[in-house]
Amino acid sequence: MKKKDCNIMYVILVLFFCVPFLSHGQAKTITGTIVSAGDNLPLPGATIIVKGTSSGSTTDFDGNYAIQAKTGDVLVISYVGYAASEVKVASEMVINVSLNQDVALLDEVVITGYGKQTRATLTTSVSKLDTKILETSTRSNVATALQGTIAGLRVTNTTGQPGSTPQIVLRGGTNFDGTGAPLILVDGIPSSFYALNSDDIESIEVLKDAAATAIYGARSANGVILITTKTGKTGKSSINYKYKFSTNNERNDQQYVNAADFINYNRQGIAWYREAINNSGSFSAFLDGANGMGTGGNATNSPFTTQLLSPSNQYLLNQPGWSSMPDILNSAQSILFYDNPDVGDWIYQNSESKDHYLSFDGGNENGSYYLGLGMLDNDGLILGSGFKRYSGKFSGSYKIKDNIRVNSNILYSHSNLSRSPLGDDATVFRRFQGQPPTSRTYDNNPDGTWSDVYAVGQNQGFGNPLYYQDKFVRNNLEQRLSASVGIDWELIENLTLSVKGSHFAVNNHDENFDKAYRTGSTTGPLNTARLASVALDRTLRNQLTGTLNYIKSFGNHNFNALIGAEYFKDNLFRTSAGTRNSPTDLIETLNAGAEANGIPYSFETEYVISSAFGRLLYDYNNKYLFGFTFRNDGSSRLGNNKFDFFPGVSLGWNVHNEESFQNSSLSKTISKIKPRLSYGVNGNQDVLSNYGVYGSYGSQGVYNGQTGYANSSLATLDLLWEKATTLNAGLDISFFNDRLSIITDVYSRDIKNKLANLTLPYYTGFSSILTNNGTIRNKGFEMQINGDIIRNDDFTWNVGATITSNKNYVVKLPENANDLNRQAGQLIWNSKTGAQEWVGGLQEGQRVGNDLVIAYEQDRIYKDQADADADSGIQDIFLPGTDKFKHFAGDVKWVDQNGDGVINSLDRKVIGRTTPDFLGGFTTNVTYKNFNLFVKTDFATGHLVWNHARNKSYGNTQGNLNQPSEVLDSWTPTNTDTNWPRFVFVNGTKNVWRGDEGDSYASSSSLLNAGNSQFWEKGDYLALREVTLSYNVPTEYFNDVIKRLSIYVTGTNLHYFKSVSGDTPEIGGLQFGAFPVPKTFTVGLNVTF
Amino acid sequence: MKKYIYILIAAIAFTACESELDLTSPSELTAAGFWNTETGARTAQTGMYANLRSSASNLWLLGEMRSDIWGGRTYESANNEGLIRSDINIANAPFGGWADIYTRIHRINDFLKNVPNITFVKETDKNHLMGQAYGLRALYYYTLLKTWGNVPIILDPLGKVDPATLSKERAPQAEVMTQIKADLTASLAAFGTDNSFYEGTRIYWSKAATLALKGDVYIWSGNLLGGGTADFTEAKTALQQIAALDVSLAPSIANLWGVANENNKEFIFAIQYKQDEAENFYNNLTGRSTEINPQFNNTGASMSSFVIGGANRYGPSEKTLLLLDDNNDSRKNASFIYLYKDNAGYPTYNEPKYFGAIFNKFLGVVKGTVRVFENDVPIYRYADVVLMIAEAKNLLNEDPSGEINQIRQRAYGANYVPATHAYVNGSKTANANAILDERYKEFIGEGKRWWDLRRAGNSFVIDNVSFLNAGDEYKLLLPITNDMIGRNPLLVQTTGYTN
Repeated sequence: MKKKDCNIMYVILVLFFCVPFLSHGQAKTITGTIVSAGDNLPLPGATIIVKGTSSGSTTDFDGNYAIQAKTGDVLVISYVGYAASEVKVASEMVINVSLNQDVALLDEVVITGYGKQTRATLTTSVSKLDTKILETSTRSNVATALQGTIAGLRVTNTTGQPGSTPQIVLRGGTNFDGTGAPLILVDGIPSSFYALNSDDIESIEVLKDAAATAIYGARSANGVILITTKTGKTGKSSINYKYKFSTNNERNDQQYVNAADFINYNRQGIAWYREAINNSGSFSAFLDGANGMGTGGNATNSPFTTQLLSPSNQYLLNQPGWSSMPDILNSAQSILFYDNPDVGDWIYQNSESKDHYLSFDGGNENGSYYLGLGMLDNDGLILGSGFKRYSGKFSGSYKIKDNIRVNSNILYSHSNLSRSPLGDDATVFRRFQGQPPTSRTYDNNPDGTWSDVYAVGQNQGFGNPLYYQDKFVRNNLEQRLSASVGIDWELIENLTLSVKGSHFAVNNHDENFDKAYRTGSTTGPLNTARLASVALDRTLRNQLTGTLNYIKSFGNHNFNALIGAEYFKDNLFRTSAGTRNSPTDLIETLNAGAEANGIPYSFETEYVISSAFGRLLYDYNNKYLFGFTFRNDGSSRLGNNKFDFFPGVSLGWNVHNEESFQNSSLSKTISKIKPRLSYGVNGNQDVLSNYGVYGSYGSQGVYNGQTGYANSSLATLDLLWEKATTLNAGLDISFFNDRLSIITDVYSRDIKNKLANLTLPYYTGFSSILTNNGTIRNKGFEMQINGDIIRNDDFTWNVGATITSNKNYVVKLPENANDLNRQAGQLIWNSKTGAQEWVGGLQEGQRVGNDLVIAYEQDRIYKDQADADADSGIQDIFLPGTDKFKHFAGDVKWVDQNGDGVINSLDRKVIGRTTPDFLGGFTTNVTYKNFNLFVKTDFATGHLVWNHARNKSYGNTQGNLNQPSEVLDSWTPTNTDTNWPRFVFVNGTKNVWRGDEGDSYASSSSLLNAGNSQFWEKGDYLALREVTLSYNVPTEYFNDVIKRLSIYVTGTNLHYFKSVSGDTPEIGGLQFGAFPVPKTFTVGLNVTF
Repeated sequence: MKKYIYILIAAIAFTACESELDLTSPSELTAAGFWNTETGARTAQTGMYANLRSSASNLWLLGEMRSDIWGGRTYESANNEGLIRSDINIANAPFGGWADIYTRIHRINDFLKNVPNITFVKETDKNHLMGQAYGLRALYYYTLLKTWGNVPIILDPLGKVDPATLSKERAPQAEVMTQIKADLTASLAAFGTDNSFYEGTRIYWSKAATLALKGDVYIWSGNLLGGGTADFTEAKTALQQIAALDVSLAPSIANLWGVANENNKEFIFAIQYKQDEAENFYNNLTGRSTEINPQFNNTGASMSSFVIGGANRYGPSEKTLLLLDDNNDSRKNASFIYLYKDNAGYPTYNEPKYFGAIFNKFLGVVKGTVRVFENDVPIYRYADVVLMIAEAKNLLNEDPSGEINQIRQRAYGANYVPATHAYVNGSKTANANAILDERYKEFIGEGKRWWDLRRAGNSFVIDNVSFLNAGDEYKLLLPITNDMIGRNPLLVQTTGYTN
């Protein structure tokens, strides 16, 4: 797709149509070539103007120009995307100029959707990614580059799984739970970041305020991310090759206890549990069965090595790693065990990645082309995980007539996403990594030495990863194709018609096969069900877009008008089927299955959006800027109110272009200053399902051979469009000859008629109904700073920063019987007002409470039984025993917030939120001669994290889970001065959390609302995300064969400055076991022929 | 030139015309047209049973978990210990959201509202369906009443939602009971003289099921809600009609359980389970091969080849183990597989060597190397009816021993010795306890025991459940969660609960 280049058009218009061509006497003809500094490629279409006159010229295809000028005139040479250069004409007849790529923030060109603008004339809030970030790190998903680099965007890497897309939320999201995915357009086609090759990308822009996004109307409330891929440049052809090699390394902060401690703490924990619950037989299988701390292991192949020491097994003590100790519960017997300290590392594999990229590009005045080929092979850090991608890209354009240019763009990728066959991230990082240190890796030979046969462990969900790693085959193949054909036709002067048809297809193919596997031990039962299944998902998106663009200036009045229409259809089709009882492990496909497993399945769903849109940009002499955009969208997802109108209007004032300003002393400091103001309306249809407004009778499953249906949602034909109106005020300012630039925005976004689930009384039969549920408001500010601290020929030092802050408020809710029309929420005691109070949930006039953390406050730990008994007047309704007044040494003394002598749900306290207060990033770039050092960091502060992989281990509600090293600090009769409660089996005395292990913000007993404050951690972090040192090899060595050669080393995710116990502080709130992003070291090379 | 522009714009605009936005779903049913045909009614009928099946584990927990059956040794973390110990307060109030029962009720209300307007090929089919739906609604409301006492009565499907008028009070128990009785009457009226089992199978509700439920309900209302003799008589009459409806006791316990014996004449209404459709939840009363395979059963045979892949969340209490510990009673081994740590063989319960138990009634079938939990699970079977007749008789001061002995005789089979095993009519309380004990042994794992104790009267609950003491009567009903009140401010907390 070739976007209209407004500025070139503007300049051409100025030159050829609006201003009479005047020439002065004594002029001579000056000729020369304009090239791009760095690569020395000619710049066709650059403008040369004699300063102070309207006399000018443009360069031809080879960058050559000719112009009439007098000695003493000043030539102003400019080209979009490059810093303008001024040259004084002396006696010479040939003036060659090389232009530097313009890095000045406030002059950059930004893509705005159906067009582009320079930031100088932009009146809306748009951020552009500095694509330098894309050049060096190995990225299996390009969206990771956005973390901390775009003000206003919260990008959370939720997993280290290669290929996966981070969670992206703009300005706090428009949903009550703080989510809402931006519309992502790749060359104008709704798409995603998945499987995109970062080397194919020319630019990424984020449209933020409603006036900018209104052109995308009904899908734009959560912002719009525009990804533009590369196209051929007019000029010499070139060949570029890039290679990156990386090694990925674990960032393993979770420390576990050793086998002896594991056995002692757990056996003691069971005894404490029995005492607390007054049941002396509880969990006996964990004491004497084949469990991690139980003595039911055997000498050869049990999952765990723990067993009672006896004459028949004491030979094992001669083997390294085996030892024995007295049973902490019964000193008359000794426990024999093996300490397997590396057991948690079995989930890891050696991990490398290789990334090749080859491109060809070039063009002349008639046409241009770009070809890119990529191959990425990225092993994941955990067993069996990885991502492989082959990508191909073609784009070309050709001028078939003087006023008609056709273009085509094709992006193809072929990828294999391999997830861990052991299970999801939480299973791998909590269960498999948290295996007891008494686990067996290999079976023992009869003489006590290790065999080379992998022990099985307990079972496939919680066993020896080395045994199970090849048992579950999970193959994925995804093909993505986006292809478009377009025509740009200059119908009459200044008026261009563009029509583009595009097609986007995703074919995702998953094949699963379970080989025969054992559970329990190598003599345990062999499961030969050999389930095989296949699933195919197909997405088809077709889009037809037509625009008419009119660009003209009348004197100082500059107009750029666009109208367009668009039709979009999204169709999803999925099928799946499975078999069981294949006779052999050798055939993984369904054809060997003996019978169907489950019911074969296919499903289709689609939606359509049809739209008309337009934009008018006007400026007066580049001083007073005005923009108006609109979109009229209709969506099949709504019932009686399918269409709505989404306008946006914006104003800007280039104060620095005022003569009075230029004459003032301020202009010496402030080089540019532009206040902006915008207001617009956006829609959001993501919250709607394709046919949900018609009510649904959903499948209830098969009963006696027939499928049953029942009313599963009510028809809501009268739903209105959710409308987000954003008032945005911005200031673009630069100081000291553009060496320091700042872009700031403050905004208030009201999401009116918010389409959200209204919680219903349960007697209705529904938990909630989708409705136009009131108004919420995002308020925040964001800032982007860029400074050139040193700017010399040989030495430059640049720093950049982004910072973002956002808060969500509830403005209005539908009338109901509650105070403040509250929906959901938690009832607690407010010690300040001395009254009960509902917090959280949704309440008019308050912040959205769904990210609130409400916890029981730990006062201290009962030092000894006398200390505990002193509280025998306090009733703790969460205690497991029938006597709720009986407290034990080592348990938590809770703060009785209301002082009523009863610890119950009223005694909770709001301790924070799961979303950060501030986030952003810092970058710095130092260039010395041919060396360049680039450092990128990102940070977030103010969010709380519940690391459930750790806390569940501390509570040990899994049974066979190793304990975090904090348990070593826990209360014991000999360690009484501590903040860590005693370790009671299965969180028996409710020290770690007091409810269940749920994750619902609506539930009063979920971890979010019923944890122990002591186990919540501050998520504040600063990540040293990337450090790259590169060297441009001087090209004079290569006799023009090589135009550019750079080599570099990069370290990624090198260090986190954080206090959280887990490895992923980015994820606020509950973490049930996250796959941390690896620490990666890359060497790379980039060569251009 | 301008002409072409307009044509092109018109062409683009045309492709985007509004009619393109009216889509019909290829794979999903919407409200439009669903209730227009008999086919719709039949898919909705299937939906009601699929939903009931989804509620089955809740019905089981509600009906049994607070009794004295469970709470014994497990070899994995036990579930629902709070229920077992009656450790219940507002903060941990179980079954928040009324155990999802109102979702089922909404759908039955939807069914009852729309099906009468549909023309069936055979009106008798429609009547049978209506009889089923009324019967199921009565079952749900009865469960609500037994669990929470006062509950909202909702008889129409939810239509338009007006947040301002959504809040609704709990109706008094008496009104709820009146409604249940009305539904029973409506169900019997709809069945009329149609005594058949739908499609000849007992996995659908039937007239016999309504009569069994009616007996159950009337004993409850007679004993707990002041209905007295009139209700007991009504109950007895209803229950005694069932024997004529092709329902009878299976000749032996061996003929009763197991997938091969499904749909036997003792089953009045059972929830169906089948591989690839749904499997029952009793896999949670088994265990993992890791723990089970190294053990031995009570005859000393190794469990090493026992195919299992479940969980052990519930263990029989010692009381249960001892009560059942009679090798002449075929229910002992039909109820549990006893696991011991060595191969000595333990004909009677032996605590130091006892490892745990596998619930044996609904163990499914082994297919290849996988066990499939596809036993149908009865809600009412004839043994239940026989013993409820005994209850009604006892409450009417009649001799219940005939019914009790009918059940004992079947259980002991060839070992039955009237002199030692037969029950002889005693005092009303003795009879009540004998019936309770018989039901205890007969219905382990079938979701009955807590209701049985409750139906017998509060003192029987307190006497049998060691975690409840005099003064704890309020705990027989469950509290509601603050979340439920938050959504519905007119709800009042169950009497007695302050924390």
